[in-house]
Amino acid sequence: MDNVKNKAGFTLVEMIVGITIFSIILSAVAGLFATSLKAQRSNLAVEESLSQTSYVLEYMSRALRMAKKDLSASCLSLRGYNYENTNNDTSKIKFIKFDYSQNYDACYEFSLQGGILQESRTSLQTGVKTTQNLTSANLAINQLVFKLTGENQNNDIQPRVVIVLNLAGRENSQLQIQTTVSQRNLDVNE
Amino acid sequence: MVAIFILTTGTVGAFSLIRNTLTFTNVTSSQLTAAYLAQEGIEIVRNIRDSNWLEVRTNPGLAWDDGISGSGNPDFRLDYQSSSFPDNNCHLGIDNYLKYDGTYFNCLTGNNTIFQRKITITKSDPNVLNVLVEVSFTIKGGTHKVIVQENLYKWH
Repeated sequence: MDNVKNKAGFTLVEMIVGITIFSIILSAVAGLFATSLKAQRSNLAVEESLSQTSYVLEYMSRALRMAKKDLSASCLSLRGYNYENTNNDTSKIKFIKFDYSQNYDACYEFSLQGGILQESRTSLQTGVKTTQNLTSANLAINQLVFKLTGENQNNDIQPRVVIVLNLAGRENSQLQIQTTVSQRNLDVNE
Repeated sequence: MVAIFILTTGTVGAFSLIRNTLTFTNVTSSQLTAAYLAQEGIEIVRNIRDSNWLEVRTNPGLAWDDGISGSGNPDFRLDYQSSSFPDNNCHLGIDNYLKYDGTYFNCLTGNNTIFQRKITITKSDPNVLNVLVEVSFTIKGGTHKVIVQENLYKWH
């Protein structure tokens, strides 16, 4: 009898205890793995929205700094302005800037089209209009504001544009960005 | 016992690693906001200098750095609407946190944000303003900073 008992490896109780401990540890590890996958996914989403945001802000602020005054109302609705919110819509901005790809001035506009930030430029030489998206569909922009100060040449205030970007990426990532740009061309009235 | 100890240590270690990564992502997002707020600080001071240049044509007695205190004393009072530094219209709380009114980071209305923007302007030379902007924020006990510096010259 004793021999038989010794040969049998584990009792039922030992097996149950062993399996229980094993499964508890296994479920903890599995849970950890699931959490890290989720974290990884949200990190990637945040990273993507951060890089898109910094790209679009650099792009826009560089363009806005280099704006030229409109002296013939060919782009803006009034002569002698540097910037204009299209139709008084603060989520849109229009201005003239030199377009290096065409080697001529163009009328630029930044606006929001269905949550995507879009640039349109109309050549002041040929009148040809081209548009391009500056952000992808993954980046949902909740709010875009261009606040103008001193945009008219008939004051001694150098034009200033405040850019506000409020966006939601995937996985509930939220980001509020604000920056201000001062036009580089001095706003001397002409 | 030994096996359980090793497994537990490993699991806890891995878990805290993941938690830290999440916090860092949060810090990175705020760092981007802070960087642009710092840039705003520099641009506003530059804008005041350029506006002085426009004004000096009709008011020849105006100093090129009028309204910009180059005392070297750090001050938090400046926002996107400011036309002088320090801006006396700017009323920040005792902790100098920038406020957020639903659209703008500003110094009058809204709830406090986590950001503080300290600006120090030193006049190292009668023709040079040394502008130092330091935006700091605290996340989960850790304080982070973005520091930007620019020299503005009397070039007219």
